[in-house]
Amino acid sequence: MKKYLTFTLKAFQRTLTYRFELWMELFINVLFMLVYVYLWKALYTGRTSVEGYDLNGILTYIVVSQTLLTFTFTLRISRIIEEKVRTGEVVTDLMKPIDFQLMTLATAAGTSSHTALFNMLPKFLLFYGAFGLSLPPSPLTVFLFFISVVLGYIILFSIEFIIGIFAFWLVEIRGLYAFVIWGLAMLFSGYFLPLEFYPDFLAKIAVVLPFRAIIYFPTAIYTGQLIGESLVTALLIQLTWVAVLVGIGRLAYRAAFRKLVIQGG
Amino acid sequence: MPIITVEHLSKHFKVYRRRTGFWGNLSSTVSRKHDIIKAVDDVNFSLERGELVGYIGANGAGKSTTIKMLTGILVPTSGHIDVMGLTPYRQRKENTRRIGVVFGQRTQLWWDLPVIDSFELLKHIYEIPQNLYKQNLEFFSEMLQLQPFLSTPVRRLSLGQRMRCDLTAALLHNPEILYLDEPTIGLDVVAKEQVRQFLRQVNAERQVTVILTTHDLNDVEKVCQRLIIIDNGKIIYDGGIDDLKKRYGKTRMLIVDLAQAYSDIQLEGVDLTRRDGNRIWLAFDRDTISASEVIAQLTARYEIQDLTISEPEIEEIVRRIYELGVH
Amino acid sequence: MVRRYIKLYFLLAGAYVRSRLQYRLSFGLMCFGIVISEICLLGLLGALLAKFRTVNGWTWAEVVFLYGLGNLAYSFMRILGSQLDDFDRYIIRGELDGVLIKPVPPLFYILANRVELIHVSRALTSVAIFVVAFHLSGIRWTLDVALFTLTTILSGTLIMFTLMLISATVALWTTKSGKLTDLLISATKEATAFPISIYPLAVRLLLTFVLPVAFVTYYPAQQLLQKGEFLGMPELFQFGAPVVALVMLCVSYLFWCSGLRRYHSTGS
Ligand SMILES: Nc1ncnc2c1ncn2[C@@H]1O[C@H](COP(=O)(O)OP(=O)(O)OP(=O)(O)O)[C@@H](O)[C@H]1O
Ligand SMILES: [Mg+2]
Repeated sequence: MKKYLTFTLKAFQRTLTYRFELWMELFINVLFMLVYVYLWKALYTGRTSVEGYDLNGILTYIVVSQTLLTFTFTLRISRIIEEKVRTGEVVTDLMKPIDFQLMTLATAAGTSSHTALFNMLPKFLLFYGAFGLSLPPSPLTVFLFFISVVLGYIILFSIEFIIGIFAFWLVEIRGLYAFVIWGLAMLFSGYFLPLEFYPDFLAKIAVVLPFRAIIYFPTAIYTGQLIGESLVTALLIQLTWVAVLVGIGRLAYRAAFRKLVIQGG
Repeated sequence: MPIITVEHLSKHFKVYRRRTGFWGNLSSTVSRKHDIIKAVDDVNFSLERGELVGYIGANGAGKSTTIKMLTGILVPTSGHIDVMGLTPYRQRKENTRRIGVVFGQRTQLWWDLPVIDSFELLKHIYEIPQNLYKQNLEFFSEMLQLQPFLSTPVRRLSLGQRMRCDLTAALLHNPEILYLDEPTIGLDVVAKEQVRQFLRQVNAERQVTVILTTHDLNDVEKVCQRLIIIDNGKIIYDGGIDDLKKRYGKTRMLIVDLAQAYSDIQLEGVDLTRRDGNRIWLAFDRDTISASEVIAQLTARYEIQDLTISEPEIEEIVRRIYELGVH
Repeated sequence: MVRRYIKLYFLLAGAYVRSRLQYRLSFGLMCFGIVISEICLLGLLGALLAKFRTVNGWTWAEVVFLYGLGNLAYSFMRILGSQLDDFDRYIIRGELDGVLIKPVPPLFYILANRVELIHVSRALTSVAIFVVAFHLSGIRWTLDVALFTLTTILSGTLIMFTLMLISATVALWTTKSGKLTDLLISATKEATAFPISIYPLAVRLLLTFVLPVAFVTYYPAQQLLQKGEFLGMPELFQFGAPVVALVMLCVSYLFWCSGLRRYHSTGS
């Protein structure tokens, strides 16, 4: 376990060296969120409640979901794996006496905890203060929210990991990445608007895909949209996806490893 | 009239210090301190047209930095460079038309395209007239045996094949000067020999002035007439290779196999530089003591099984210069 | 001279397209992915607008019109300036050295070296969206309108391109720009998809004078849609896009040159 934490710490520190990037990123992110917050404010003029969200509720939803979306923007695990495959660096990784998937997760977690601390948290606090957002209904929800965030993160990671492993066969995975992450994940994760607002047929597709578990679930737990039984169901669905996607990731990388050993890459 | 003149050339880099540890790291996000690195420090030399010069030095000595200034990639901190009457960084475009550059670590070819496509593109980039292009391509592909893989994508070439292609790419436009930064890096013995032979030939037949940096001193010994050694940004030797041997190669080495492992070895005028079981290495200066005197001393005190005298190799000389400096 | 550069541009761009086509599957998937995500985004926007009818007095069709206009500029810019979104590669891997030893202007070479045809799929989608929105907003085609629209799209493309160039150039100081350029450009594109009247003054000023993307969509749309909402800005702004584009072009090019000078002196 300790050696994995080393990866996490290393990645965390590496990110710290790019300070200009840090500030700019925060600035742009804030701009991004302002767009949506003001869009919703404009949309809600003269209305009190739509689909069970009042203005405060929807703003809270947007800010939380946009904050969580930062993970999607910054993860880039698949691109890193692709690069490693292309340069052959992956061979040394695979030969190390450690689990490749866990190591990648540990590294990603380092980068992402940095993002969480220096980008997501200040961003959230800023908007929380400026727009008088609400907190989750109870301390227990706060706790469950964080659990859900972590599960969502692992799901996002696993999807990116699988895409990355495809690089062993495809060499070039930008297409796959764009399709899954910028296409499917963006559409079905509910970052742009709550799934309750989706037209029926889109909502139906969203239910069978893992993407809503990345952003919609944690956000809806935060806003109190998911409570009691539906909250538990949501967490269980997340757990299931974690198991499934981590499993697929393992199978994929075993297969990739075998391919590497047999065909020399 | 020299083709390259370098006077009082210096390049200093500012390097930001990264503080270590978690909090150090954190505080670097707010403010940073820097050190100055003198990568190249008051360097002077000049090259005549048609020379073939080896530019060597330990890791980080400043070789690549010098090459980058000569090619116009880097602007000197101070000093003066004159290449064919041009100042490379000011007249970058004119300069690049008349030089060829090979970075051994990186290819200049289009990674996913067949080799020949890269050549075609370079033809247009350098505006090489069609007949000259054809002539050169024929010349080089015959000399370097490129024919078998001209239509292979660059990413599938072996390192040696790629280097041959890179050399061709750098020479297609008939440059007057060829800069090579570690052209033999990672190549096997045969491929290295091929590159060396090629460089000699290009230099002789086309009067191309060649500067090459390398860590393999065989390159220098077999290819270059002249050697420039840079150490910590300063030039510490500039002259012929034979000269170097004469001046610094006075130390000869006597390798002796003793009959038994004597615990204490005492000899006058001789350095015991290494010992491995019964075998010992003795270094001595040919001006102060002759080989026969050393052997006489040895046989008088110890029982000897076998011995060989080795003349200094260029490798050994340069190693000593890197380690101890010139004296 | 100009002919030479045009020819060289097409040769280099062609070489890039040929290398990309070696990965046909990836190429196809990427085109598909882009089209899908464009359509989906529009679908979501549609769903949203269907529910709320208007945004600050702008009708459904008018908002899609804005969105389409911005997207059009964005996708053209993406075809031409793709190389800039991960420009830091050039510095991190030392590829810029290779560019600087070529007898062509570095920026030209870098841009020509990667003309991303994948984004043609996005451009086509955007054209379709724009044409429909144009029609729905009840604008009548006349020669004037056509010329104005073309100028607007061209200026918009240039404005977005210059923002991209400025952001990429920053990497010449910081070494790493990573996803910044990508982020910035998506953020500004998103911001222009809606009437800027929904934002507070500070953001409007930002989008007008600092990151002048309001000239890509909002101000020209005032002319095309005859909205007359200038939010206290001069009415002349509706014709301002070409001027802004030219100014930005100069500014960004000067910035690029100074970045390059810095690279020449630091080598990193
Ligand atoms: N862009 C740069 N910024 C800061 N320092 C640099 C830069 N480039 C080189 N240096 C430093 O300048 C010194 C000389 O580097 P240079 O690359 O010229 O060495 P070299 O002789 O080519 O070494 P090697 O044999 O390892 O290639 C080194 O200490 C290096 O760390
Ligand atoms: Mg070097």
